[in-house]
Amino acid sequence: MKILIIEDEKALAESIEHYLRGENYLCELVYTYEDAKKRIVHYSYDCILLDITLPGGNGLNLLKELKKRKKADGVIIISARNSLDDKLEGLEIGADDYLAKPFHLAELGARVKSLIRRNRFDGSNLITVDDLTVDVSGKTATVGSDILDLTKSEFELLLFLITNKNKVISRDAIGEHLSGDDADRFDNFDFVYSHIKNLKRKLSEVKCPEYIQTIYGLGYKFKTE
Amino acid sequence: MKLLNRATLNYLIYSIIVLLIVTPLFYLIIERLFIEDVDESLMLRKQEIQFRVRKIKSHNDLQLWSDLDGDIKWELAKGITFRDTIFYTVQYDSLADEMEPYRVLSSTIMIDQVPYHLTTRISLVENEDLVSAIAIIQGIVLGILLTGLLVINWRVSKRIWRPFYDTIEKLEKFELERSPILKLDSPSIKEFQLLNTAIGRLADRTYKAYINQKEFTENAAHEMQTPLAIFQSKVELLMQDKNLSNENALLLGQLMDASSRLSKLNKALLLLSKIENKQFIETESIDLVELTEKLVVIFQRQAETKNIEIRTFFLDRPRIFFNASLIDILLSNLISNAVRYNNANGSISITVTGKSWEIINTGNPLDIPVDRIFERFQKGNSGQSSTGLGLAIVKKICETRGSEIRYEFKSNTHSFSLWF
Repeated sequence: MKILIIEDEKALAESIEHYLRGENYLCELVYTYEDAKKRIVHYSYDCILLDITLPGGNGLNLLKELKKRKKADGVIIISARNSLDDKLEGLEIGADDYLAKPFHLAELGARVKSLIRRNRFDGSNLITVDDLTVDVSGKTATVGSDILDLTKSEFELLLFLITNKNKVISRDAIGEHLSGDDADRFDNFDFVYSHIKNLKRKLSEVKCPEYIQTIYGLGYKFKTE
Repeated sequence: MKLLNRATLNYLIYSIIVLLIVTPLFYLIIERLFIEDVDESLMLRKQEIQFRVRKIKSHNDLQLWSDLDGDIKWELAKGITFRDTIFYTVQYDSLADEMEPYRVLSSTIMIDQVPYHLTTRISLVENEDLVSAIAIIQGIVLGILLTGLLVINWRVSKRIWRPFYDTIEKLEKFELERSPILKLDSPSIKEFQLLNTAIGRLADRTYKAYINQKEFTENAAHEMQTPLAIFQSKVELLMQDKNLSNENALLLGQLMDASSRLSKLNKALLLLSKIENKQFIETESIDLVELTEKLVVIFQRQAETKNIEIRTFFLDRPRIFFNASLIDILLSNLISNAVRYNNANGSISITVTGKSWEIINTGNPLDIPVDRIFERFQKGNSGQSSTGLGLAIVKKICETRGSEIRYEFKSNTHSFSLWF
């Protein structure tokens, strides 16, 4: 899987690369508009992370260039200009997703995975970890032959944890993910605790291994290794 | 009072004073002149009579004269001599059959060495009519003159001041967010020209400042959020370290909390300045009951973690005209507040009437002064994780709409009521 990270803030680009590296992704980093343009013209990527404000030009023009050349690369805009207009314009031109800075790396990881999954040709929407199978499009999870009886939030939580497996995810990252657009309304994500507790209980009821671990002081981890 | 009316009023007062003083004065002067004229005539008549008296032969002739001329009366002076005196009197006029004013000359004339007393009179009736006619005409002329002056003055002023009123009208319609271009005419009057140029320049500067501020807001967001994003991403990478000690994990967790608070604070400050800059201007009709129901569902999850029950009472179904984002933020902040400052197992009740939206929650008394509750960065003990801007934003949003927000604490409940 090839990912192009177009981001003028080197430190941030490196963080993203570092986080995604462990996931079988091959990341390329470019920091300017011109460099980015050369890359997208000559190569294809499974996912492009695109900053809007770049030295040398507006990231949205790169997106237009991609669409003009009818390239199928998935694009996620990452922008500090958290304004509705930018978001709408980006999606209008043909971006697949939009993420406002600052974001949680876990959230970015989940979005990248989801995008790549959607663009895959085999249409497979199953994620498997040992006996645990998550059907993303059917929104069901099974352990062996047992179907887990999960609420919508619990399913989303499980999916979020699995897509960021073996990573420590903060409670805020989980809370914001589950709240979606409403995240800005909330000043705490205490509800995550009870969701995790319920999910763990339901998994253990069907004799699923203890994948979900609480990491002291930091958050949670879906541990498979 | 309008400028035009003010000037006209002054003219009007002056005109009335002139009219009131001049008209009677004029009347008196004319009357006096006229009386002098009559008196002169009387004296002339006396001279004429003295001349004619030579033809008188006997006392009977005099009697006849008196009888023929009603305005002349001869009497024997009987030793008393009169100096010439002219006086005013009211006498019976047999022709008109009524009492009328006269000017009478009383004099003594010697006929054949015998002193006779002569009284001769001139009626003032016609002359009085004349005087009053003159006075009335004069009054009317003066009246027309002054009214004309007033009208002309009013109309001229109106025309002269028109550019001024034009400018005022355009200034009233001038709005930075909607119609920032101020197009003023170039009037022929120099002062107004100067005024319009000055105002035009002021508007330009204001607009530029406004654009600068807007750009600053956006730039500030960009500039602050990028380092925040870097900071947060680095902390999240550190979190992945498998050899992290518990002690360091705790430190990292605190760094994480601080960065998310910074991020929220940044967003809230931006929102506040956007509201102050009136960047939310589109309005639409909003069903408050529908919105409240939606928000209650959203906040259910927050409420459940503290086992708080949210009840709603919809006594009416008001629609208000407002910006959709702002009303959403306003009610969200109030509900969020009611959850945050609530006790575990507490309750929240929301009541919507035709004129108000009220939220009441259980909770401990405030530990900040009541009158400072809507100020920035005032937060109680239980609000450690809050930005301290929630209620400031609530207040600001209410101000933009001209709605009133009230706070009350009674019998261990906090109540915020919004009057639209």
